[in-house]
Amino acid sequence: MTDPAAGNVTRLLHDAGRGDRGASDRVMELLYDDLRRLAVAKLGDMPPAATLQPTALINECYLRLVDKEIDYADRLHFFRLAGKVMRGIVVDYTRRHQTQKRGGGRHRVTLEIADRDGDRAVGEMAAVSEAMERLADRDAEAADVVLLKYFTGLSHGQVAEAKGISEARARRLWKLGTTLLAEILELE
Amino acid sequence: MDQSAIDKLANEAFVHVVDLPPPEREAYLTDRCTPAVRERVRSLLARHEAHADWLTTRPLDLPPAALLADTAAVIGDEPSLVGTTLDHFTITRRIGEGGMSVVYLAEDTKLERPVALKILRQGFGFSEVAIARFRREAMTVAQLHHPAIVPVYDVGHTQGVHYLVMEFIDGPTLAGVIDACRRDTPHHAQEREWQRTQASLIAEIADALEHAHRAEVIHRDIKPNNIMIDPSGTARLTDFGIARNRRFDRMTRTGQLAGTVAYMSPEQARGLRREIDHRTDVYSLGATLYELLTLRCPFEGDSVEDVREQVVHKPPRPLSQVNPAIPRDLQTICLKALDKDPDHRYQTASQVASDLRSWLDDRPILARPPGVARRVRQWTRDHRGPVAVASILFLLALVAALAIGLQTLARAGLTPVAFGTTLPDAMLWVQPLDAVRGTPTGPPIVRAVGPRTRVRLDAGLYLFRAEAGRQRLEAIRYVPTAEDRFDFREEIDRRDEPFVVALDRGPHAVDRTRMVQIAGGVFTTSSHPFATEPITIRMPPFWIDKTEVTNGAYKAFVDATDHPLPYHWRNEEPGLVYDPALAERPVVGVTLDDAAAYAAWAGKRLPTEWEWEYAMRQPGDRLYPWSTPPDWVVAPPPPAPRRGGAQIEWSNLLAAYAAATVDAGDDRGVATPLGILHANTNVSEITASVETEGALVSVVRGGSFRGVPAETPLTRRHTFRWGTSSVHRGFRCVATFR
Repeated sequence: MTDPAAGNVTRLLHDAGRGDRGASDRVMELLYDDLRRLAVAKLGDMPPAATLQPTALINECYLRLVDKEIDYADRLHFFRLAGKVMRGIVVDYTRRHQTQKRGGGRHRVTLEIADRDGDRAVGEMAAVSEAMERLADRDAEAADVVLLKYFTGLSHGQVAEAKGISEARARRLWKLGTTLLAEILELE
Repeated sequence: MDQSAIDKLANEAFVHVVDLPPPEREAYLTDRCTPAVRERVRSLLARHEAHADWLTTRPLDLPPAALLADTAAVIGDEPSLVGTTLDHFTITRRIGEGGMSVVYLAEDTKLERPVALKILRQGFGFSEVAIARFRREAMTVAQLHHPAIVPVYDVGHTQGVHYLVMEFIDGPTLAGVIDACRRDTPHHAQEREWQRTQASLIAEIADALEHAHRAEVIHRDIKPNNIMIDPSGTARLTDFGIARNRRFDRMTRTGQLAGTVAYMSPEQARGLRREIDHRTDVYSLGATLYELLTLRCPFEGDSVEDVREQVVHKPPRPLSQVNPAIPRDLQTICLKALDKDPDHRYQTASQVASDLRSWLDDRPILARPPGVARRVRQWTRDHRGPVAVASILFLLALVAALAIGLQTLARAGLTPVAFGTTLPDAMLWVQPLDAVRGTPTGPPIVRAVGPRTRVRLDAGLYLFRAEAGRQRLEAIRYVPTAEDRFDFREEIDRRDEPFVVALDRGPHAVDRTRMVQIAGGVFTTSSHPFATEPITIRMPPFWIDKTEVTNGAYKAFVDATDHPLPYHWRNEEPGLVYDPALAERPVVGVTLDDAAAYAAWAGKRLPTEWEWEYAMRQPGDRLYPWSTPPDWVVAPPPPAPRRGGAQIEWSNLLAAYAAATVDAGDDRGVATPLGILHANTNVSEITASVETEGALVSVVRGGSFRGVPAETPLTRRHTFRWGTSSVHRGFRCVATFR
């Protein structure tokens, strides 16, 4: 039997693609739940020091939730929403993480490596997450490419295919997006 | 012009010029841009140069906690259970913790003894997988009875808390001992005595491991943290949390890293799950011995990734380099256990125990330092890549590899395949095909005399052929990796089962009047989404079914064979049975495997997606079956009725199918000029092609009753998860005749 949520998500995506905000929110909720569920399931088998790849999780969600023939437009929408969910997760996490650090952490010797190692990545992701809104103001199309590529891990070819543009253009938009982000973040 | 307008124009100009050579860039900027825009583009280009690729193109890894969101509090500060009572256990204090669980000291009020209670962290309570795994640990350890294994007394669940009851060991872990030694440098004074003690500790753990291995349990996470020293000074092995146990193997997930990276075997670090056997524990035991002797891990690095890289590729730092006082034999034992190649390690834990005891008794050990051939091989492995290998060394390496490498070659990453046919006295062939194009990449690699053969193949696309006299049966099948064959829906691990390719022919002759002959030719198409250039294929002639395979034909096949019924014929839900009224409709709800089995039974095979597209677009590479855009409009299909607002039931889907499909032979719609029906209508069609980028998915071609034909060109392709079926998906067959 197919996942009962699958047909549901496919239709929601379709509605969301037509501008139904309620449908978008619902897909993001489902995605968020599913990402968490997958993360927890995986954790059990992993060494404490391991990290999870958002991209791998998103792909797994995609296969679980959207296991149907689906239009490319809807597929694009899925990855766009997944990217937003991932951004939200990163921002939440860094906020909480900073609070915890201030609150004094007697916790986890075992997560120490993950923390040390993950902090760099998360710090960067968080910075990019926060800067994404401003990027969208400056250039919506470039922001969309960064969202699809950075937060959901699509390749240039896949971004191009999903957006219906040439791969060369996808690459150049990526360059614009990252350059504008560098500017927003005042990288020297 | 205000600044934001300038910025917008500059963005566009940037995208236009960023990949141009400088002269053209300049020309464009001078000719096409106002000074203000030009200046802005130049500043962007400068920044781009300074920070090209600063945002890694690789997706980033997140610590798991990031994804746990509101359960993160659990990982941080779990409410303490100290002072509370669970069943008849009163919790006294917290004594340890792991990723998934916290360990408390508790008093068993019935038996009046101290016990260790291992409690599943609250946040994991809702995960059935986590609970099942937790209980599995109890069942795994319950099988084992060895003085050096910490026993599990019981497992329980109360007030929403899952717990294991274990013997309480009132002593430190080996990790604690090592830490203490690191702080306490003068221990070198009694160095010899220290080495003897550690050697005998490790020998005890090796005994315990031997016992576990004989019960087909692999610990997979041997490290100083999981070895405790009880008050009598005996080493005790604990934490079988990620142990693999053949009895419960269905539950273990595939392709994930388990264990702690510094002590992980290379095969574990590489995620080669299939290659992991009990010798992974031998390696980790060696890593533990290494740390005991040197007080340092065999591999140290700045990041997990760095350490993992070293574990896989770098030899461990020689022990004598860290501490020259370590006896040579002890070094040899340690390095033998740490060999990258499981075949060159000690083959059993008891061999480790035995060599350690030989050393303790001053008898000769069995392990030998690596010989010349081995070192050459090691050297070539370490220097693979840019270094030009002198030919003499290369020859030496070749000899060495031949002498000792064949075994390894035969074992690495292959999928067992059971290939057979009902054709009597058949010759069996297997020929590798290009995974995307479906064309041969080389001559047949397997030739065997039928009726059955077993081979091990790399994952990939193959042509399987059985030939007897003038009779020939063939199939194009993708042989998946073991990981790809893991069935997520059923959580069934088919790793050890062979992938079956059965060319089992039914009694009926192929009726060529129901097929169309397609002439050979050169076919060029751009419909592959990931290909950067058009794909050109030289197509040999073949025949293709005029219509989709019908329910009636598929029913005859399952009746004649024991092939499982499609789900919606099994009568497992009310009304979901085979409906004779729909006998002429295209069959749906079949998987790729089902379709392939039917095709073989019918004496045909499934087309590659290119064969499908090539046939459908004849003549003249048309994009639609009709040569000009259609002047007819198909009414949109009725929406699938909803029930309960969310779930879609099979019965509803089938009602939509019954309402919107037509008989496979119904020729009132548009056929291709060659007379092929329903190319982009009725049901979409499973092909033999797959995509392997990311997850393994099957390629399906054409459109279904859900789509609008005028919006469904013959280049349209979808993908779906390997092993699944859908009410929109059927198939048709092709054949080549001699």
